Amino acid sequence: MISISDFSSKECDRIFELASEYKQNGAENECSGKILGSAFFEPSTRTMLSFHSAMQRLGGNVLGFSDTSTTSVKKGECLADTMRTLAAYCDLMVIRHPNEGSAKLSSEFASVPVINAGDGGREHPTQTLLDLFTIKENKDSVKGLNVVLCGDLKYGRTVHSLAMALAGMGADITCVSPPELKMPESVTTCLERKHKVSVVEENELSSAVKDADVLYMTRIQKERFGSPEEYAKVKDCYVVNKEIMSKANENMLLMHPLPRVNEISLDVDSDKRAIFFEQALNGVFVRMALISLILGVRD
Amino acid sequence: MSLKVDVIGNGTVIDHIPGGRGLLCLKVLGIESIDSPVILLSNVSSNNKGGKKDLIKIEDRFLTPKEHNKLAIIAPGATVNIINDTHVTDKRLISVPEKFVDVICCTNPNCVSNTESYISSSFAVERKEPLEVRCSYCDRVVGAKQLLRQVIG
Repeated sequence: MISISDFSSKECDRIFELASEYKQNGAENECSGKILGSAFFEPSTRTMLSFHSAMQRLGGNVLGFSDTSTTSVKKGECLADTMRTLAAYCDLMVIRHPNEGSAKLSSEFASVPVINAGDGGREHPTQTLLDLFTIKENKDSVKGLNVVLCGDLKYGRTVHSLAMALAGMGADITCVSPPELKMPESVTTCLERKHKVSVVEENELSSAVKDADVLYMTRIQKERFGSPEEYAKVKDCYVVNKEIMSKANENMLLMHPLPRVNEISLDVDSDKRAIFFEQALNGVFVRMALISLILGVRD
Repeated sequence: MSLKVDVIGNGTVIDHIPGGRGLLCLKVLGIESIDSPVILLSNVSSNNKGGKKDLIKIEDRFLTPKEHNKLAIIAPGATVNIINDTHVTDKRLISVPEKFVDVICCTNPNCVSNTESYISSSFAVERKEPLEVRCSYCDRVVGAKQLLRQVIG
């Protein structure tokens, strides 16, 4: 599972149905005796821990690493060899890596299924699945929704996968970002050619939020900038606070893949429209569904 | 004006190169390292298609598949004639393939095809005219101008 485009809408619906079942009823030891290999070449809290939690809730085990300095990567081992080796020890692998295309490369060398948990600035498809699941839990249909994507749309891999999926489901997309962090042309071109969706671009969050059904905020990622000066130019350029929320409609959903820094004020957390912690929780159920379907313990 | 050039005994004739692109084709084929005779006709009238074309004849030299694919970026629609004992023994159209494998590099420095040196780059053709390809690893779209810049070095 490398890209969100690997899934048909029917397959997405099955994942959501099963995730909903796990959320309501929990799970038996369906993956007992199975092992998830976890290869995190970059830091992660939610994605990694929710994958581990998902596998353990399904009765399976987890092995892997989250710090490459303790592995043979430190000795110069190439990605293909690391992943081929890990594949021999497990039934399913999840990888996060700083280079775009790393999950696809891993899938070419590994003997077990590979799940992409984020490859550089490219995609983060399981985040997209949990985002869609959260939207569907709160809205009747994705079709016709105006979804505003705001923040770092250039390096923010979650929004690339999400924009593709939303466009495929008939949502309208508005992008709000500083000029240097605009949605890559490769994504907008694909949206236009494949899904016939024209992306609307806005500079001001305060005006874009008025017609939004969903406001999806992203963090300006300090680690993606070449220098502190470049980061300082765009840091805190969009902040959702009570004033911004007062301009939004009462049914709008405020989402964020987390971690946040300053782009959502803490005083917004108690607003019923702020559902980002529920969104993070849903990550466990969606990943449980994905694991059990890929391993074939459910169909 | 009609031009007559000698037939070659053994080698390659690349015909119907878009007018003015012949020198670029020779650059791709490494003109500086070719010892055998080379003939380049530039901007001659094209009987079949109208307009101008270039033509190259190279004695004792045959194209590799990689060179063939590189020429697809510069001169799609050209024809490659293989000459043995002054006769055309094979004729191939240079057409844009569905995929370019190990022909060009991804322009994204963070793409895994650049950081893991043991793998071959791979691009799917998105559009043939103007040529546009998409990296099979990172999805970066590379356009005609960048492709041309890469193959002529």
